[in-house]
Amino acid sequence: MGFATYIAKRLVTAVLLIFVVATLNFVIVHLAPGGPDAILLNNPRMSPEARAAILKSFGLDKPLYEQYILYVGGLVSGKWGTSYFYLTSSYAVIAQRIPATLALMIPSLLLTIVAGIFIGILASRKPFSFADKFLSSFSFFFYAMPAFWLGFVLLTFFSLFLGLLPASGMISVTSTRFELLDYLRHLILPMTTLTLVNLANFSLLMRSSLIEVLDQNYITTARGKGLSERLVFYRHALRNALLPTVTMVGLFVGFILTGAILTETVFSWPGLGLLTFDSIFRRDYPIILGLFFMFSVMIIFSNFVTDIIYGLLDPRITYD
Amino acid sequence: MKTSVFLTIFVLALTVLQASQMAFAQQPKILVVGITSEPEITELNPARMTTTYYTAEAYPNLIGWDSDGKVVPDLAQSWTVSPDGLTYTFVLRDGLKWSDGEPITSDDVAFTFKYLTEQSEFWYYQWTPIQVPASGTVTGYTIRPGAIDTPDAKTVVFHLQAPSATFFIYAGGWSVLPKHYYQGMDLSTQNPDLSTYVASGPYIPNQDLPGDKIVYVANPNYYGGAPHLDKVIFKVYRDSTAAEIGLESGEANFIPNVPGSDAAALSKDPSIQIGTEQDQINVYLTFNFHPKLAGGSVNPVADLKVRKAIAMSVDLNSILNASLAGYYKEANQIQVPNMYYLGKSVTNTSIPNPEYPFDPQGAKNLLDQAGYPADAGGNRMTLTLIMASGGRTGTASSIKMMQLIQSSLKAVGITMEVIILDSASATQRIRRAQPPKDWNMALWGISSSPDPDVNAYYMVSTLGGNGGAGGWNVGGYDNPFVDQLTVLGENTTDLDQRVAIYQRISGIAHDEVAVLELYYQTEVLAWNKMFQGFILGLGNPMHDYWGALKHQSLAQVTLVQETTTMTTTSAPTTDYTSIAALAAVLVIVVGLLAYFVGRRSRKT
Repeated sequence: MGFATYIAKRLVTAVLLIFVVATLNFVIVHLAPGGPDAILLNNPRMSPEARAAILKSFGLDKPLYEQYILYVGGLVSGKWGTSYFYLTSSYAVIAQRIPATLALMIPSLLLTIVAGIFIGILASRKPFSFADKFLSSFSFFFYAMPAFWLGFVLLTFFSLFLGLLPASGMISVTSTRFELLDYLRHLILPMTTLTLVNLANFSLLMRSSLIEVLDQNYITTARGKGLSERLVFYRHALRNALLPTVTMVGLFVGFILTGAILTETVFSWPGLGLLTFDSIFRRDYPIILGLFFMFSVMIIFSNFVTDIIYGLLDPRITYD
Repeated sequence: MKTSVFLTIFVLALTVLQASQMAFAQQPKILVVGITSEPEITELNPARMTTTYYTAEAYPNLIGWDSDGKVVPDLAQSWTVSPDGLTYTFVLRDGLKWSDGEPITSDDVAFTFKYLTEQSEFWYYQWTPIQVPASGTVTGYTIRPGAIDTPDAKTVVFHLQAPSATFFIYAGGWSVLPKHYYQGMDLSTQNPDLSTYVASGPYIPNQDLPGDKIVYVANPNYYGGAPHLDKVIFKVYRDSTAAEIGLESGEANFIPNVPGSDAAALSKDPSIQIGTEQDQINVYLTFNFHPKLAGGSVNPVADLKVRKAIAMSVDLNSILNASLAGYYKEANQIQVPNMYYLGKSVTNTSIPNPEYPFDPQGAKNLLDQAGYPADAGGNRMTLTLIMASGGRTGTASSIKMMQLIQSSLKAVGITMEVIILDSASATQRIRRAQPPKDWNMALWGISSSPDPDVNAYYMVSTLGGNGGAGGWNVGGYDNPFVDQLTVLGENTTDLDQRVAIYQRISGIAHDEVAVLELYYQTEVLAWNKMFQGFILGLGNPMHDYWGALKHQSLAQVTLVQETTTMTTTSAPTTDYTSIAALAAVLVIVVGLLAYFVGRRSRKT
């Protein structure tokens, strides 16, 4: 009973939150100085008719509040407006870029989680030992690096000096078709960059939560009962220590579609990150608003799911 | 030891992947051009382009320009102008064909002018001598009835109502479009479909992979004969460093827009050739000419003495050298040195170079005279300078240049705050804001081609709605005599008279420091020596740089080595230091992992 009410409540909150965020998106985008007309209407000799016709064709002649009403109506009805630059529905432009971003982010996230948990476990086995310090410093070292810089270092080394891996894109520069081997070769560098940069989020969390759990009374009890160290660690400690990591995974899932703007830029990966980057500079409002809306929904939704999974994993959490 | 086995497998796998890549290496001859901004489909929409680089490849004009700035035939083999300057006749080459095999006729030319006049918000104004206002078109204009005649399939005749000095190059220098393809297509709401694109250049757009590349395929019907390569690919890098890595690793074969400071490093690679083109871009500091700023405070740069003092405080030559690594021409007047009218230079040789000799003491005296004495701390005034990040004036070199100017001005007691904005914000503040604006100076630039009218009109006249929102004369320099001269220049067809008019305008702009000239831009290009035949420096109206990528140049480009070696060039010079470093890193990583694995196994 309590659970159903909780979900219903959370759903209502989530929808309200999405609405608030969508409104904020609209305000923020329009607060940025220099609208699309600064870029579209670049010719000072343009006739007033031409100027008016262009503004009208994109609905930019309407007052802002009317544009806002149209925008909210569009979000609900699925009409996200026409991109000023691509002249097609911004939904179509965004949808076209989603596969490339997923093809980068899903493998990267999986690798980050697995490697992070593994390193966290290794580090927590003997806290403050040399191994722990080394692994934690390793995580911090890359965490502190800007993704674009690390990306360039890897590019220079593996593409330029060694010539082992391609320098950019998702498929070979002369190819126009997707091929698995080709894609995998292109995936290695950006995936490594994203993994190294995000690794610390998981490894340090895993480490600290394991260390905390291993100090709990029930672990002492388990040891006291004469269980083997392996059993204590994997069955009693690890399972409980995974909880915060699950939260972190949930939060990161929300970020999958937001892509990695800097990493995509360095490696010219044709995904959503690049589209976001370009559209902001072009003030292509329908695309920017569409992207922001999608990102907001993803993040709010993944938080929602995380909350529920969290409850399922931890029986102490009640819903009232 | 498991770990090292894994690592070995990993490295082997990479090698196998690399080998398989080479085995599958494409047989077709492909030139990959690495560019740093995405060619949007809108730029292949001939009515909606913000730049013309990509459509200009696809659509030759009636006339072209050679590397010396001389007019040469393109689609038109010959042309005549009537003695009264009112009738222009162009005769097309024989046997011209579109990429789909249809003939290119005078009807296509007439269609292009009407179509773009009515639909293209960007370019319609260049043909004012044959246009009339009309309702129901996107632009509010159409072609005056009877202004264009097509007596036969090869001849097109334009009838002007009054002589125009610019009509010939604006009409001759524009892409001719296929009527059978574009008729009925509303280019203001629709982009053409690349898979069915019909054009006439050596390579025509065929496929667009958004965010990644645009593929052009060879056009066997090109009038200059079938081109030598199978494809030209415009590959997108978002950053010039990434593009340079692309070139050095063999992925890209040609990159334009190389920062001058990187040219030296690239030229060390024996497989890479560096070239330059003197384009027609003029970069300068523009002043706000309103006596008060937006906030009501006094604007010192509205005073000629202050502008002169600023010009004299700057040791331009050494500042340019320090920031542009030698790839520039020091500027001294509003007309670029390679600007001609009918083959005659419009440069005003009486303007000194450097325009204002470096003289900090003289600058201080002028500032004293202007009523800006130094306070106890040596400060006379605080000024604001706005610049855009990105674009041709927003590179790292420009930022360095502004910092050097900042410290030069500090030396005479002028504190200059530099504000760097993204290009849309900068455009808003600098150009579109209503006067009086809230800045004293702005870093600004203009691409001048193809006619001296462009710089007179946009830089120093108020004719383009200037002095306010929208115009290019962003600071509002307002001199009625210059306006009169500019209009006169547009309507004078006599060679010597017209040249004299522009020299006069340049002289006035110099005397009044209408702008502070910085430099004329030099483009640095880099390409792999496997590809030969680029013609550098081809001029073109509205296609202000990358002459080497113009269709006349691309049509000559050949591949002088086998394509299969393309990927192997990715390791051009073996860098033993870095290989040793990698080996060391690998040994350390393997060692550490082995150590941990060992510890774990001891425990269990």
